[in-house]
Amino acid sequence: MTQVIKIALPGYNASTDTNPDHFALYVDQQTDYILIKEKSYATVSVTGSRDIAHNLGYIPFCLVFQEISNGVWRKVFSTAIDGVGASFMIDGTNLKLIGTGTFSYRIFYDEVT
Amino acid sequence: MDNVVKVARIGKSANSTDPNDFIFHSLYNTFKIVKEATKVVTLLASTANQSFTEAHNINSYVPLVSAFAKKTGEAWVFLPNGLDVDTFGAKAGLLGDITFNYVASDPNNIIFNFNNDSASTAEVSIRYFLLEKV
Repeated sequence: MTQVIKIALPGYNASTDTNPDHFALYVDQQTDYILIKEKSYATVSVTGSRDIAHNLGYIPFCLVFQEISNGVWRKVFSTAIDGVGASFMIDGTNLKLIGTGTFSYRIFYDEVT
Repeated sequence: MDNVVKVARIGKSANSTDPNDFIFHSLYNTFKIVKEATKVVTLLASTANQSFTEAHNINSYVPLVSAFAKKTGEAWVFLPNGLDVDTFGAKAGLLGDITFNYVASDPNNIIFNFNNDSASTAEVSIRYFLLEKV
């Protein structure tokens, strides 16, 4: 017998609904709908570049944002955004934030390679 | 000793110490999508730096935001800092008319910014995800 754990979002029936978008947790022993797990986050000041050690030994999923003006935050990618020059790289040891200004980052335990 | 709720992946042990072996583990914050929605915008022809705003209605914090765009009638989805790829090749590189310059958030709004190099207006559908706080 399949063992199932489902926690539906408000307005959805956990017994009949099969759309994983409608669940906070959906486990059916057939497909791994993995919930990404946060390791660390912080807001830091960067001048030129700054290494953030994660020491996981593998390349984790991460999200990076930069405050491009007071209170306005823009998502950063692995190549520079035109006019801002912010980017990031990540290896098995460090998240390297590149640019100058205030960055917010989130590093997850979930491996991407 | 911590009381822990954990759900292991198929074929993995619930006694594992590797966070990657779990669908859910109560010792780790599960990153949450607070809101998901779509917005359709019409880009002016031959105009760069076009911004569109959408109120996020989250009053207590500035949410991180992630977004994906798709030109109406086309199949490709493109990300901020990228363009809708009409054609590509080894010599030509990537060619497209619309550039999704960035997505940003402030205490009140989400801001989407595009260039449209085409001589025609273009309709773009954006799906965005509001995440946890900055």
